[in-house]
Amino acid sequence: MHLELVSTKSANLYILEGMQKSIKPFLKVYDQIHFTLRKPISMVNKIRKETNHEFGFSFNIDGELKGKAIALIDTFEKNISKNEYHDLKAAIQEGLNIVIGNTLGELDQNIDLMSLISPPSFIDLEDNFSIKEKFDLRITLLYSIEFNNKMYNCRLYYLLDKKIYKQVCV
Amino acid sequence: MHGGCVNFKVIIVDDSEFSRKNISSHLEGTNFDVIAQAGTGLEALEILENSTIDIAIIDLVMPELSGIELTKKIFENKKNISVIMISSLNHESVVMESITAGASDFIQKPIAKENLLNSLNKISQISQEL
Repeated sequence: MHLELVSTKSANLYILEGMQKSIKPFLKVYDQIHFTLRKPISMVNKIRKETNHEFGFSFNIDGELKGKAIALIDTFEKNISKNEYHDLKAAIQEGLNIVIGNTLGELDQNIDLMSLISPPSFIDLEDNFSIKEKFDLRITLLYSIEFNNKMYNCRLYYLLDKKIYKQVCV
Repeated sequence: MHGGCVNFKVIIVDDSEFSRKNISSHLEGTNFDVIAQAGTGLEALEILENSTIDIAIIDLVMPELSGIELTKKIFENKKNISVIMISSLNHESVVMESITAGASDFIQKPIAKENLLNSLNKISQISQEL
């Protein structure tokens, strides 16, 4: 028995397939906030805020996969009061923690790659935000989030570096 | 812990205000009284120093002090308390690490009211028997 390093291409494919199996298509958090997957996984190059109507959260991922999970939520034409914004941020922060955490848990079960998330950092409406770092795998999903009878689009990015060793029987 | 059929004092430790609020509302009208909430592990230690708490519901991933570190610190101080670890993660190693640190149970988020009450009832029953 020996350990074989799989090629970069097949390693990316391995993770991509694992993510496809692991993502949550629908999640209801405490009967208050609902996440529904609108667009499945696609590869992405640019990760940045498109308008100053977007806020977001960035979680570090650490373990057998390293990188970030970043979510950007669009509030364009939602007419949100200051109080509503406070509640929305709190609900989405915890909702994302659950969506991402559950996905990483499934990923561990599906393809045996264990990674954990950090507490998030907040990206405010006025903040400039873009990612210039290079990652082996840059994927995105689109969720719609329902909270307090309003719907929000949420772009969720997983930016991942990996070191995968596949065990092969000989 | 209390003897007989009495109320249990609970602290919720989670950096998410939304989560604390919802867990707390799950426990309204039960014999588990949420007498304190903390957003960080350090805040929780301060509260635990000055009050008698029966059960701590602790989030695993928190800034400054993780749920596992907090649990270890609680038991270093030999607190007579039961810990339920909660997390969006459910990796086997994380569950094992939580139990090894001293947690009596591990519940994955999102937390269903029924699961939480089952866990609390089990823990309170065991502690009453001891």
